[in-house]
Amino acid sequence: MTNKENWLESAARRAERETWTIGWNLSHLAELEGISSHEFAAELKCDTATVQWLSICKCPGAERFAEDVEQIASRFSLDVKRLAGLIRRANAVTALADSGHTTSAGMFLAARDREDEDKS
Amino acid sequence: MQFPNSEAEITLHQRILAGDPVAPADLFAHFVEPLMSALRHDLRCDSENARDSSIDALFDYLRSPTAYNPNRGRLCTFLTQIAKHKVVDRIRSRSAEVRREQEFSSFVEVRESAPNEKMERSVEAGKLWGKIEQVVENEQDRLALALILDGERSTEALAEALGIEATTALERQRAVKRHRDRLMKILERLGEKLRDE
Repeated sequence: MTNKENWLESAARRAERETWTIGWNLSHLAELEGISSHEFAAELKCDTATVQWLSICKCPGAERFAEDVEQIASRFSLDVKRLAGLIRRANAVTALADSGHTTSAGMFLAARDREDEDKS
Repeated sequence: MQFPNSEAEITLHQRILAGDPVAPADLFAHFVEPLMSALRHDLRCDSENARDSSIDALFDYLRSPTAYNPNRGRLCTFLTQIAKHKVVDRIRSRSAEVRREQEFSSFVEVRESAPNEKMERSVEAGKLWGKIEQVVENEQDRLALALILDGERSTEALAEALGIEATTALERQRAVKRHRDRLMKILERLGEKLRDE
């Protein structure tokens, strides 16, 4: 493991404790769906290092969501729609968790299935 | 790898203040490695501490970027100061943890080596220990002897068994040596007596 990969992985893990990061929301989604950064990477069609970089980015705010997602997607050469879908799903899970609502993995997996159907 | 120049720093700081979603990633890309190098060089800390402290410092800044005032100095200086504090905090925290572990292990060592736990494992050893008990009446001496017979060489463990409360390490060491020599003489005399019998 190179030095950069070493600190990047640590930084991404540390980002999961910061509420303003994408990593915070992705960690909630990962926990709920029982998946890892490898699955996120597969979904975004990128490598795990890109998911780690993504984790330390600021989560797009509701008021300029599209603009922020485009900027992030452009920076890391990601598909805008895939990224927007993932961030929306992660934000929804986190919002429900924050509001004290119980969330079920099935509900969000079903939501993702619908999202996938919409894409195809 | 070096810190970005002051112009690049100011631009990055402004992007962070403006809520640029990618700016935090750029901050990490440009600052983690120079920060780690500075910490290893200035504080001679290990790589893990340098890495974790650098990362913590950047997250501290990102959580409240307005705490940095560009009129007061460079961003790299500000971040290095935070990171250095983090290193010191980590070293203090680790030292306290090691101290707690040592205290616990000395306690466990003393308990595990208690005479009736180790010496009575065989009938012969039990008989021999009985002879020792006849000539050594003091409970602390018995405990220390059991430790010595069990191969214990730690000054700390013997000092604790003997109830030595010296103010300095040297005094403690001398006191333990004095007691150890005394106990070894008792054992020698007992050995001679048993040989004669």
